[in-house]
Order: sequence, then C-alpha cells, then structure tokens
Amino acid sequence: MKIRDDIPEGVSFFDEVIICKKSDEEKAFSAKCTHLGCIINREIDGEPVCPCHGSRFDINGEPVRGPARKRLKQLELKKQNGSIIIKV
Amino acid sequence: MINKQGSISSFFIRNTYGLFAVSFFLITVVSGIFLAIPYDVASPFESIGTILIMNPFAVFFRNMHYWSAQLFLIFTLLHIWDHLKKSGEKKVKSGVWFRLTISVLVVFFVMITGFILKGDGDAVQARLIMKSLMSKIPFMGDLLTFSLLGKGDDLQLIYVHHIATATIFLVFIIFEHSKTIWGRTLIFIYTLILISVLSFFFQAPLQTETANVMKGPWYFVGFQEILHRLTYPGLSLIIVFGLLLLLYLIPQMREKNSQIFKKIILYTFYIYVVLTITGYFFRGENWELRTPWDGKGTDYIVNVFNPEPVLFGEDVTDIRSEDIPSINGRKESCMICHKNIEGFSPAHNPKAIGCVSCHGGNSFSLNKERAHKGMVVIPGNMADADKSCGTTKCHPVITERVNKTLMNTLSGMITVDRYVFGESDSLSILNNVHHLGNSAADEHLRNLCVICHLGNPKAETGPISELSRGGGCNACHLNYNEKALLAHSEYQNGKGDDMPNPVVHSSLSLNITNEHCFGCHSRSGRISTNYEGWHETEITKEDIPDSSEFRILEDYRVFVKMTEDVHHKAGLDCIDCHNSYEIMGDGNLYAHEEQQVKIRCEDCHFEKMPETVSYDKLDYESRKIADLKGWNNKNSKYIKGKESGIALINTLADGNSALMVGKNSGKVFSLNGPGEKCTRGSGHKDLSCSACHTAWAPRCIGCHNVYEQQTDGYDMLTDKLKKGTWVEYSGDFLAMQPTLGVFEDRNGENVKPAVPGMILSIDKGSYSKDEGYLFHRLYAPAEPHTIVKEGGNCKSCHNNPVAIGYGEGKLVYEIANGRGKWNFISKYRNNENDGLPEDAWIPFDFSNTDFYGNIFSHSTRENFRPFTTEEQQRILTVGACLTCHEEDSEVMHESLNSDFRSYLKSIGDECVLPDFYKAE
Repeated sequence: MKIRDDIPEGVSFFDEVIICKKSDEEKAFSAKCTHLGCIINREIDGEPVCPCHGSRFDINGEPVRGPARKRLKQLELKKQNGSIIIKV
Repeated sequence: MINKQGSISSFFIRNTYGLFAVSFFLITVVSGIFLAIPYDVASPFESIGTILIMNPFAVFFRNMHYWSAQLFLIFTLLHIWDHLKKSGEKKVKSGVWFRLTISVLVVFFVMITGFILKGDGDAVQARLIMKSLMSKIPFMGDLLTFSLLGKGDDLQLIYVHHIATATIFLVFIIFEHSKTIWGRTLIFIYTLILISVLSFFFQAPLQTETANVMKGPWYFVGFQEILHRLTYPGLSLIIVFGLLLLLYLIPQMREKNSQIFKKIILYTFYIYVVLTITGYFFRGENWELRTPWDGKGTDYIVNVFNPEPVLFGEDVTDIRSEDIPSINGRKESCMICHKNIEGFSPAHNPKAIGCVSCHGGNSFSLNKERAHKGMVVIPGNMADADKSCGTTKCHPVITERVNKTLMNTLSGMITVDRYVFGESDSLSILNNVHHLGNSAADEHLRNLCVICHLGNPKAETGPISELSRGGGCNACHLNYNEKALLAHSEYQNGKGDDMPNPVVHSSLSLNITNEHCFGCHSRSGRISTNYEGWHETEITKEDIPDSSEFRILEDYRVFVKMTEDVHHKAGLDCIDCHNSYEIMGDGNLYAHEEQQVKIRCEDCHFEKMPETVSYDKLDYESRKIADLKGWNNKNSKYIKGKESGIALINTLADGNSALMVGKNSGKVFSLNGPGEKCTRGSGHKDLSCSACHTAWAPRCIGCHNVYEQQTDGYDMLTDKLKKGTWVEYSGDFLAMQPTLGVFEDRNGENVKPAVPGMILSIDKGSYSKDEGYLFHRLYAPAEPHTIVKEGGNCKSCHNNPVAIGYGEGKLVYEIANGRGKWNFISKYRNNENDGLPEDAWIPFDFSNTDFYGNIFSHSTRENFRPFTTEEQQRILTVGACLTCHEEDSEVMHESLNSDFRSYLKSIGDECVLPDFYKAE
C-alpha cells in the first residue's frame, strides 16, 4: 500500500492499515483486530479501539484492554520520495 | 356453537409452530427470488441503496424477505422448544433427528449470510468474525472457511450458498421432517397478511455510514457479548457445538436426564436473552457501558424496527440509477434534488465526501420528509461534531482537542468566579462549563457569562455575526461569500414549497476573519473591540451623539473611538498571530488563557533570529496549512515560536530578518526588532512589551452583584428563560493606560498590564438566605490588544498612580526642607469595605494590608501580584528624578544605561531623593 507521507500525529486509518505516529516516528499495523479479525476503525484518546468487541490497543500495538490478548501485527513501513510504502 | 376464542385457540392447538415456520420459510424463498432480480452481489451496498431510492416494489420484497426470515427463525426455535417440552424428539428417527440438529446450524448460517449480503459496515465486520471463528475449528477450519465464505471480499460464494445450497438443504430437511413444503393454506394466508403488513410499515435495516456502533443481527447480539468476554474466542465454538451435541443426544437419554439437560438449554437461553438485552440497550460506542437514561441520548441503540411505510407513489421515472451519485461505495440521493449546488471548499465538496457525512439524514430516499429525517441542518456544533467533523475519516483528533480548549471549557472564568463567590479557595484548578451546578457562583455564570463557549450550539443558519456566540467548528470556519449570502437571504425570505432549494452553500475553510472572533471577544476583556480601537461606553443608542467617533454594535452597545492596535492598523488579523494550536488547543487542558496562548511579541520582534523550522520538518498540521495556502516552498524556513515550539507558518525567515504574510490578506509585513530603548540597560529587562506599548485598557470598577428573585432571567447553558437572575450593577467604564503587575512563571518574573477584573461586591444572601455579603478587590493580568509603536514615556509609569496601582488621582513629589515626599490624592473616595480608593489595587502607604488589617488577596491568579513595597519605592525613586530631569536628558539616559542604585551614589547634593530611599 502506498500513501502520501502526510500523516498527522496520533492514529490514522487506511482501510486495513493503521498508522500510529508519535514525535515523527511512524509505525504501521494491520487493522485486523487480533481477537476475531474485525477491522479496527475507531480510536479513543489516541488508541485504536475495535468496534466489534471493544479491544483497545496502544500506539505500539499492544492490547491495553481485552478481549484481544495479542498485539497488532506490525507491518513493514518505509518512506520513499514523499510516500509511505507499507507491506500489507 | 364454537365461540371465537375457542376457534382461535383451537387454531393454534391444531397448527404447530413448525407449520408457521414452514409458511414463513416459503415467503422468504419466494420474496428472495424477486429480490434477487435488482440485487447485485458485486456491489451489494450500492445495489441496495439504489433499490431503496428508486424501486419501492423491490423495497417491499426486501422487507418481506427480511421479516419472513426473522419470523422463520423465531418460529423454528419455538417449534424446537415445543417438541422438547412435549418430548416429541422421542418420536423422531435418530437419522432424521441428526439432520434436524444440523439444520439448526444451517438456519443460522442462512440467516447470517443474509445479514452479510447487505454489504454495509456491520456486514463486513460480521463476515470477518465468522471467517475468524470458523478457521479456529480444528483440522478443517480453513477448508470450511474457504468452502463456505470464499476468498477475500468476494461475496459470490456466500450468495450461492445463501440462495441455493443452504436453502435447498433446508427444503429437504423440512420435507423430510414435516412431509410438506407448502404448509397449510390458511396458515400461509395469515402469515402472508402479517408479513405484508409488517413489510409495508417497517423497513429492513441497513446501517448508515454515520452509525457509531457496530451491532450484529439481533439474534447474535448476545453472542457478541459472549465473545467480548472471551479472550479465547474459539471457546465460543465449544459452547455452540456443545449445545448442538446436547440437542442431538437428548432423545437417547433417560427421561430424567433429558429433563435436566432440557432445563440447561432453557436456562442458557434465558442467559442469552439477558446478554442480548445488555448488548442492545446498555452497550454504546466503543463498547462502553451506557444507559438509555444517562442523558447522552439513545442513538447508540440500533433500531430493529424502522417504522417507515413503503412509498409506492413516488415518481422516479425521470431518474436513472447511474444519475444517483455513489460516494465511497454508498448511493446518496441528496444531489438528485439539490442539483448544481456550489460554494463548497474543495475538501468539503459533496462529490468528494457526500452530504450525509456532514448532515446525516437518510441518503436512501427521494421523498423530502424521509430524506431529511434525522438530518442535522447545522453540523459542526460540539454536541455532534464527533459524528460530522470528527468522524474517523475526517478530523477526529481536532475535535478531541477543541473539546479541551479554553474556548470550550471556560475553565478560567469558572475558577475565578467560584473563588470570588467563596466556593473555592484555588485559582489554579481546572473546571468545565459543562459541569456547572446551581450554586450561587454557578448560577451567576449561567445567568451572565457562559454563553461564549464553543459548546453553545449554532441554532440558525447564516453567517457568523457580531451576535454569534459559540457554534463549535462553525464559530471559526463557517463562511458565506456574497453569492451564498444572497442565496441564504432569498431562501429565508421565500415562502412555501415553491421556493427552490438554495444553490449556493456556505463553505468551511481556513478563511478565519476577525469577524469570526469579534462576537465573543467583544465581551469580558473586549479584546476584539480594543484591537480595532473601540471602547465600550455606558451611552445608550438613543443618546449617541451624531459623530463618526461612535459605533453601535448589533446588540446596541455603544463604543467610542480610541487608538487602534498598531497591528490592526497595519492589516494583521487575529489568526496572523494566534495559530491553530492556540485556538483549537494542543490537547492539553489549561486553567487560564495565558497558559494556552503561546505567541510572544519577541517571536516576531526579535533582536537575534529565533530558532527556525524548515518545511520538511513541519508538524503535520502546519504543513497541511502551508500546503493549502501555497506556502510550501521546500527551501522555506519558518520562525519557531519560543514558548510553543510550533512553527509560525505565515513567517519566512532569511538570515537575520524575516517576513510575515497575512493568512487572509496575503499582505507582506516586515518583522522589525525591538527599539533601542527597549533593550538598553538592565533597568527594564523584566518588562513585557505590552507593559510599555499598551495604549489603553478598559477598566471597570465598582460593580455590585445581587440576585433578584422576581426578575426574568436566562440560563445560558440550558438556553431557557427562567424566573430569578443575578444582576450586575456596573460602575464606571473607563479606558486609560493600564496598571502594571508582576507575573511569575517558569521563565521568571515579568511586568505586564493588569486591569481591575474584580472590584466588586456580592450580595450572596440574596441568593441563599444563609449566605452573607462579599467584597473583593482583585486585578487580573491582561493583554489589552491596544499596542502602539511608541511606548509610554517614563513618567507614564514612574509618575503615574494608575500604573503603580494606586488608582487615579494626583501623585505629586514635594520637596520641602531638604526632604522629598510623595503625596497622593485619590480621585475616588475610599471604599467602605477596605478603605482603599474605589479603583486602587494597593494602598499608597506601602503596606500590604487594607484598612481593617486584612492582607490583600491581590489578583485572579496565584502567580500574579502588584508591586511590592520595595518595587514601588524603586519606581517612585526614578519618578522623583523625573520631576526635575527631562526624560530625554543626559542624566536620565545615563541612569538607564548603568546600574541605577550605583548611579544614585554619584548624584549631586542638590538632588533630593524620597524619604524612604536608603543608600546602600
């Protein structure tokens, strides 16, 4: 997936990818909740929240509230010519 | 003769739930055939949208298909229970019972695939859950998932199983079990009538994009609750298969055991019902627990029944499905009626984001009333900003920040008011206008102050005006150009339904003018009017002299012309200095305005170039604004605010000089450094720029507050008229050079303007009988926004009783018999409460107690104070010199250049310093 290198601080959602940005550092995660595979598309206070069963994750993808117990799958991210390329 | 009751009850005795289930199944199948014609599995959500907009007959069949399916499920479960209750399972052959047990699973499969085939947001998530659960079945999970659900997002295989595989299986099972597929004619007629009535009046559900909760179908909401509690969701399959196994084994058990296990199934069902109720009525957005009576609304409760009769009479002959725009995979009918509407900023054009994403409503109808049902005419108010501006796809982080900004919380205003009313002893705590109660202070705020918060909704269409207060995102971003104003005016003045829809829409943009700020900031410190050089008077509009020196605002307050701020004169707008992080907040909660406002004079008026930020190092928001404004030269460097650390995006730094560009005007301003006087010597190093350069500040003194039980009042928070209100009887409205005070923060001490924020009395007993009378004398730190290029002269501080804090009057230095003494005669009489002149901050006698020996509480901040005795004396010592020496004299210049106390050691014998001066 290729998106413009133009991501705000906090959590951004791009279909099946979540990008968490803090202090210019970006991390990409699969938006599929590790509980039952729902697409995470909501956030509270800068933390992604799954709408299906309420699992909540921090910006490092670690679960902070269940029922999910595994961290989000981190995706490879690289920047190139003003774009962010994520290996989905 | 058989009575009516007997015939009805015997009808239900003779006809089992199973026969009803068969009839409902038949209706489901036949209605499904009709529905399959317009349905497109390749783009399911769009095709259903088109059906809803254009094809009322297809809508009717869709409703029939839905309601008959739900009732088929219900009556199937009732039939199973009926069999178990009567031990009917013992009469069924084991092979048949086995297939019936499997068919329970198939029934739920056909139901959930029907839910998935809607293609809306809930459906997508349901499919993912089902796929994930199925794949957890040992050994054959993945194969089963692939065989039943297909690959990726393609719904083709699911569709085939729904309309063919599972349906055919159920036909065989029904026939094998009940020996009929047609049921009984009378039952069929009754069920058909019931379904037809239901289908006519109640719509099958379809999730809208603006829905904030994800709910599965009603029969799986309880299962969702179970999954929420299971860290290992595969355990839920054990529960499901366990129950099925139990069901299968029941006929083989002894009677006593089978009764026990039937009860287990029954109690499991009861628990499931409780979980379903919990999931429906007590589970809100982001899986938070809610109650329907928590005062936050009930829109989180998904409406299973959508009471909207099918409209067969709508004329859609002129419309083709390709004419209906598809926005992000969803059909929107809005633009069919609202054709050619223009005026939007590019990012908010309905071709990009549709209409529903801002306005809500029903995008699946061409009927005016239906389409506008639930529509938000004015989106962007704080109450619904999270559903419009602040949705995940738009500006979620910004709406969260704005919730915390002082313009929304009014923290400082509330803190000071409660302090003054004696309801709090802290001037530093955080408060929020949305948490006001009904104490004396809170009632005072409700009656007089809190209309100016962003949470106050904009209730009428039209531009932001002098009278506007609040309005959420609209307060700053809403704009009407000339065409939009004209269109709005024509629409407002139009009559009846003949009036065409307005074709020019207001825009949401970065064009934030002073007019946006004006309304709210013409109250309290009056900085918007000060900035333009207008001072509020007590003159009424009827008594206004015939002169261009006066201005009447839309609320009939009369202002007189004063010196305008030099920045306003040059053409700078408010937002040229105050950036998005100051106004929308930076995500932090602040107690007072000077904490949230980070811009400093020296950011632009620097001696030495401050730190700069290059374009590629800009934060996201700054870069976005720079891009939108066209200030995105890759080689650009922007001044970095010292306090904020954020780039001033409308500056351009080059070497040791910089320019500023007006964000709205595009005008270019050169940024000049401080004058030579400002930086010479060390005597004035602790003065803020505004201490010298403020031309004037409003001063209100002598205010009395009383609660009048019988006077009509208004609660600004609830927007309701009421009986009884706090009334403020104000004293003089003055305008003059401000008093000065000392502000202390992590950067050290800083002298800045102060205004008499609270010289007031409160008759608290008028509100509550147990309370008494209060008096306060508190000054507040201020930035009056009346900056002039030439700072005040020396005497304007050193010989000015107002500046030092004594109030207006005659401050004279008298020398007699070789002794120097300052004398002060106040203009105002002494206040009986503390013995100080009405407008003073501190007494002239260098004490820090009032007439009755009470220590002064000083100001509305814990870190802001008047001059100490020593500071006053130092100021007046210089003032003493100025009574003889001209400001421009060599003596005074020398005194500024050197250490003043050392300089005084070299003065001649003819110089008479004040009595209080003691040489070191």
